[in-house]
Amino acid sequence: MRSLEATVATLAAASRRQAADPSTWLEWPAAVDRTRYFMSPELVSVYGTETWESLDEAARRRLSFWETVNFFSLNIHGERPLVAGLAERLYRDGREDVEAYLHHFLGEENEHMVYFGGFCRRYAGKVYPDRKVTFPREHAPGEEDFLFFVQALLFEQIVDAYNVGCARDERLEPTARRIHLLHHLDESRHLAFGRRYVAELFARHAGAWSRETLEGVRSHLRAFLAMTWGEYYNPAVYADAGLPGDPYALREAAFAHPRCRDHRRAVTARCLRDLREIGILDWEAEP
Amino acid sequence: MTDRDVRAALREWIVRTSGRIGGEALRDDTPILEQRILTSLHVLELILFLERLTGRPIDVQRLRPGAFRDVDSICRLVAAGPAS
Repeated sequence: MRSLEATVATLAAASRRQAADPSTWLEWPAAVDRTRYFMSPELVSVYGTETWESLDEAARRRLSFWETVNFFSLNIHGERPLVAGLAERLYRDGREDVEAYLHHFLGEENEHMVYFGGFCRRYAGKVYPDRKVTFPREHAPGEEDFLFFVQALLFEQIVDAYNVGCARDERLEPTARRIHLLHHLDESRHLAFGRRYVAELFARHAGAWSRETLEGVRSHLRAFLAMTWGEYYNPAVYADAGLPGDPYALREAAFAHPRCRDHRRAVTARCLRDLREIGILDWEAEP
Repeated sequence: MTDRDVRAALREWIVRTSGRIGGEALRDDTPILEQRILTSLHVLELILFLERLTGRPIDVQRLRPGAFRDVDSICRLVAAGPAS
């Protein structure tokens, strides 16, 4: 494994190069073609279910627009606490080795919210509200910091699977597709940093944790993954897309559907491979 | 849906979701967050459960501190309506 110092230097240089490259900028059209797909159909939350099969092509494309608004909204709500947490962690003792990159990380997350929010406000007239609430609690030394970065890593790994799929998909409306691409370009660096830094923090702190703390961390990550996936199934999306039936019942049925479970398992398995290798996790993906 | 129905459904949901407490042990004033029967990570599903139960959205930005402290608090939140 490369040293943390070398990883930070490489990623900071790559961030500086990309920030100066006009080809990575985004222009906003006055309107987007709402008859196009905005998300790869295979990534739409109800894909493969009886609900999906019952929709005609126009309804599927309409649903993909609202699913994209939800995906961009949940990114905003994941990035707001990330930005706050990164700012909180700057210029604290023991962080000197990564400060140079944390500045880029923080700045890029702020930029992401600009284009996610810009899309939602311009073309949907809204951002879906956040339903997450955080309650303070006691942590073992290093546990809160570790959870902050490992949660950011898991969240971004799932998001990146969607970004990569949608950025490659020529069926998609170009503005949405470009946002997926731009996000992926930054996230690939954030993920490289996250993998390395999470391993560093685990090695630094976990040896002093009690067995109860370690089991608590593992249990917390399982619940975090379940919550994260839960956000991908939003009843407000189904209502806005005009799907027939109770949107909460649709959500429940889609979440429990074998195809949707297989999809979550496949994405999550890739996300967790690194964490198992480091020894952070001792369970298989079962979101 | 009556207050009694909401309490019964809520208690059943908490016991099923948590897996850390039995139905007999969960009182309406049991501090479910303080005792970590539920955590922050359960709140998303709890809110969706309450929205489905009542047919009304919950505005998370307007929640008061302690809104999810115990079954009594959550029932007050539900009774107060969408502005809570």
